[in-house]
Amino acid sequence: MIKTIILRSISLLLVAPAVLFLMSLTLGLTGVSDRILTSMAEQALQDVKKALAAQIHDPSALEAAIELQKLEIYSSYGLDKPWFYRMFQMIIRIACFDLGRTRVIKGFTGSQEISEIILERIPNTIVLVTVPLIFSAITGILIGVKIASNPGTFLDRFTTYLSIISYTLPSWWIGIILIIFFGFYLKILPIGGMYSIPPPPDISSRILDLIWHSILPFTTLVIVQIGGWIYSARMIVFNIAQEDYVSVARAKGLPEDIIRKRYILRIAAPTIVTNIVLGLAGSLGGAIITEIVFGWYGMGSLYYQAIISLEEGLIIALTYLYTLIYIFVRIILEIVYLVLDPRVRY
Amino acid sequence: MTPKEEFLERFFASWSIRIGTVLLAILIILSIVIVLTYPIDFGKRIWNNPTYWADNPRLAPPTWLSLFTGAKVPEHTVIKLVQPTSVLVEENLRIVEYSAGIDYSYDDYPSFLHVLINDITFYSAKPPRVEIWMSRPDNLSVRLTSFTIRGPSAIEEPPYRRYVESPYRLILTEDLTPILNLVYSLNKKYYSDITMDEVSAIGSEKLFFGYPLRTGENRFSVLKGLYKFHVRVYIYEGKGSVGEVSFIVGGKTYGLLGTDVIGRDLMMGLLYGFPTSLMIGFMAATLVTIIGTTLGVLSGYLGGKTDIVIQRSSDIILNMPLLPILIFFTFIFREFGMRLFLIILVLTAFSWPGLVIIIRPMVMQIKSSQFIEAAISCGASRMWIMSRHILPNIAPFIIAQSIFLIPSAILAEAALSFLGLGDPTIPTWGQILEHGFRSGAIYLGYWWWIIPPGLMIVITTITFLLITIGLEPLLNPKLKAVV
Repeated sequence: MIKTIILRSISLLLVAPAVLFLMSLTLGLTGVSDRILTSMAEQALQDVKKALAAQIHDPSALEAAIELQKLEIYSSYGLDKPWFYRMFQMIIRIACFDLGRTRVIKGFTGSQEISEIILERIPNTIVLVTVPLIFSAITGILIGVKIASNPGTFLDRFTTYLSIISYTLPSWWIGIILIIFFGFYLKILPIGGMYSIPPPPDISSRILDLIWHSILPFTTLVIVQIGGWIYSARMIVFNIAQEDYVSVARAKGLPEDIIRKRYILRIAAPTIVTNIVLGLAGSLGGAIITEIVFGWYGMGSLYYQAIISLEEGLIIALTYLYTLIYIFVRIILEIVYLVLDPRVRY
Repeated sequence: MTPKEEFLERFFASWSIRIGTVLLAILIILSIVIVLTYPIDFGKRIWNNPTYWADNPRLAPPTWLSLFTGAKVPEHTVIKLVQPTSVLVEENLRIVEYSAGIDYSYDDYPSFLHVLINDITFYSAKPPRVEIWMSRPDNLSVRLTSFTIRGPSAIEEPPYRRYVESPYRLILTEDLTPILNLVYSLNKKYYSDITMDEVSAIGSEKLFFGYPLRTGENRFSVLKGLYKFHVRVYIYEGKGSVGEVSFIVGGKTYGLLGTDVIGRDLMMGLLYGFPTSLMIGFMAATLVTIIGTTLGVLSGYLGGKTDIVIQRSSDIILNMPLLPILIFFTFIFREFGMRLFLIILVLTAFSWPGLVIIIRPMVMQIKSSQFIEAAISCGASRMWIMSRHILPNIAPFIIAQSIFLIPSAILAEAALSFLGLGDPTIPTWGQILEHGFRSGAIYLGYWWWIIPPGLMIVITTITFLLITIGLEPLLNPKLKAVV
């Protein structure tokens, strides 16, 4: 089984270099990589200029020295050659988030290093993606299993239609409606942000403040995701419940509880996990926009800022980081899947 | 009953298909009507052109809202006069007068007052003069303003024409002269002491449609009754004409869906979203279906190296997070123009593997069935088998899948537009939402700007989803019977 997990993980990990390759190819072809490297080289040159100006006082000698330094710096960034010679270098740069500094956007500590800005936002995003995902998965599966045992009833049809509607609702729209209703008209919940301004001083009230601010974004994500869970759990359980061996178990007179747990859910579990895998991409995307709507200080709202202020380096880094997070979660789910389904052997 | 009739009967037996088909028919009919009635360059020339919306009230809620509040809120009124009300000829002078009466019975003040003058033609070297008068229900008659049209330049030949392309727009509620004249007359009649410094605090529209009170916080009350506005154009040497004069009383409400921050009629933008969303959905779904089906059938039927290459690449693409990848590519290619098609192409490029993964096992199952073996033994070529034997068998399933792709494409475009990556030349629902969001519509309570576009997206997606869900039980048994 360890071998299977490793093989599966390797094939998933291949996605990262593939994305890196595609990205650096695009950046090279469009000339964006030239732009990024030139601005990095110019920054390095500025520092050198200052140092040189302190040492050399003769203007013409200074000019010559700067020109020499410029050539050296540009060639060290590979700017003296066409872009495809630097593709490998660009891949390494993206992989290490070494994409220079931002023009306008600053991190929480005032830093303008791209790697620092995005790294400090990861925890916020992970909290926003995972907590509603886990909550809606568990509740959704429980409801789905429950209604699948009485198919065709009013409750079953009603819940099914509700879950279809929930599936089609765009998260940002629900978020906006919740903000207008609870934040603007009723004024009982905050309209955005993660903490009150100014944030409460001690840790415990800070956490309470965070929970207070996260009620609306979490509700939004749960509303949007739970329908898909209910629907797919219902379909899976419903299909398995019609199998012959389940009828045999019923005919034997096994209690309904045991039939549900051992005969239906045990078989349905791996398929449900597959669904989590497929739903994950959607939740990640939904969380990006939910962050923007609620002003959550995560990677998603950073994306929005980067698009508005045209920060190329930041967008590249964020896209790659999202890919990494996605792959990481996928690997964890693969392991869960293997544990659940003893039949799977690659 | 023929199989076709039987299929149709079963098709329309399911409620979700019935509702879905009716909704789809409405969407398609609406889209056709809109494509036929809207100009082709609607986005560039009308929607994103602020001067087109200059005579609309800004951030006005829908008109039907006043049904619930009870108060009579001023509606948007446009009075367009093509023919002069009277023409007076005196020796060398020709006085063309345009008059409009407005019976004002609302409980609130309008948001503005505009006068538009189009196409003045004259022959004399002395340019025409325009005077604007207003008479109010309280018998106050005020000459609001007068001005002279730009005279002919040295190289110009008569007839001289002015304001042909775009009208002369006089914003009476913002212009200093009419306000000054009005304040003077009001003070004289009502013995009040309004100063010019107070006007911006009071609100200039109150001067036009109200009267000062001796007591009270507002200091002004709405004056109901018949208002008359006159535009007099004095044309010299007896020749010349005026094309058109419009009086616009800006409403506090507007149309069925209100307006946004630059006065755009949101209804127009929202309707335009129907054909655009359907086009995005259909185009993306068609492209994905073509690519996905071709590769899926090739991969499943040919096997070997082709299969490995297609499977590996679709596996890798399928494991990429879609939205971040879409953001990256749309952002990097944003300067290349035709952004809507770019979005569709990028969406297609990263969506086809889903279809390949579903089709391949189906093709492999059919491949091992006996009728394929029989066809091979008859000497059928691989192309023939793939197109004539395999494709028809999986076609119903592919159709169901591609219907499912339509809402995903619409949602993806909306998400990208919401992130500010939409095509600025073609308005979509996502873009209207984004503009509203960026202008702070949520925090200021402009719900009519935010809720309708989202609702449209939801209705469109539900339409296609209902059809897919209804098709599922219909197609699965058929597929099982074949395989």
